[in-house]
Amino acid sequence: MAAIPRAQQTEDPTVLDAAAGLAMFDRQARRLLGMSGDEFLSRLDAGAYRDEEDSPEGRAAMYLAVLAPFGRRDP
Amino acid sequence: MVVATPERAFDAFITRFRSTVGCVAEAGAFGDGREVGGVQSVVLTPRGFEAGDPAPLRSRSGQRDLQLRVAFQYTIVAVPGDREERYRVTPLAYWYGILDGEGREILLFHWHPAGVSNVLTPHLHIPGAASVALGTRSGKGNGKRSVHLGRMHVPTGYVSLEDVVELLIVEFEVQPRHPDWLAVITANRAASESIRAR
Repeated sequence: MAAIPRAQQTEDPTVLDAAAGLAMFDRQARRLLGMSGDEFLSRLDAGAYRDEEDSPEGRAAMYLAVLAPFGRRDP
Repeated sequence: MVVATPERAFDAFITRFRSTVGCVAEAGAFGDGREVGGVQSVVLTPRGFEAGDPAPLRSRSGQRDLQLRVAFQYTIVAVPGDREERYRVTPLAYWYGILDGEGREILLFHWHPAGVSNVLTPHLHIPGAASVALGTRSGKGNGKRSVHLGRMHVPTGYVSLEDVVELLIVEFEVQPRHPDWLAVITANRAASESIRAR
């Protein structure tokens, strides 16, 4: 199993804690689409990515959409 | 697998998930919760990379020219039993991507029935596929119509993570990390299928 940074480790070895999950989601949104996780979720919820799978950006948005529960957790 | 607590259901699921990924990649996997009824996700954590990054794969010829990116949504449901409720993990969506070493998309298996796409059934993208100019049976016609494979949503059945890992080993010549990979894949696929059959 891959090591994760100590700051992300929790007592539960199978679940990322909320802060680590939010940080992961924000980092991936910035890396893949150049925006914060919160901005991505706002755009997603507003329907900005509807039927956008024909482009790499649209498919990246779909990837983030599947991970979105990490970004919606309370810190 | 139906077990006595939501925690045990999730632990069994994530253990299978990790062992399947571990057949080809040095990567962990973490969920974001074990609550009953919630929409929750799994993310890969490749060793040496950030959580959510694609996991590098090694070919049988020793090259690191492929990567695997995975996101998975699940929920934990209560299953009424004779004496008490029991629990199992049910898939809600997946995003499996086979990428080249530079991150370019090769094959993408998607299923997002509650997502933002108008294609809600499991499908395959082949982004790098060339367009095909269509000939006609008679040889007549303007000959200008093409089909654009790279833009298609090619229908598939449900594709399990085990299917993708087996595809990587058998067809993409990824080096398995364990000699018993096929036994692992077979057992985990059977467990996955038993859940979806309920």
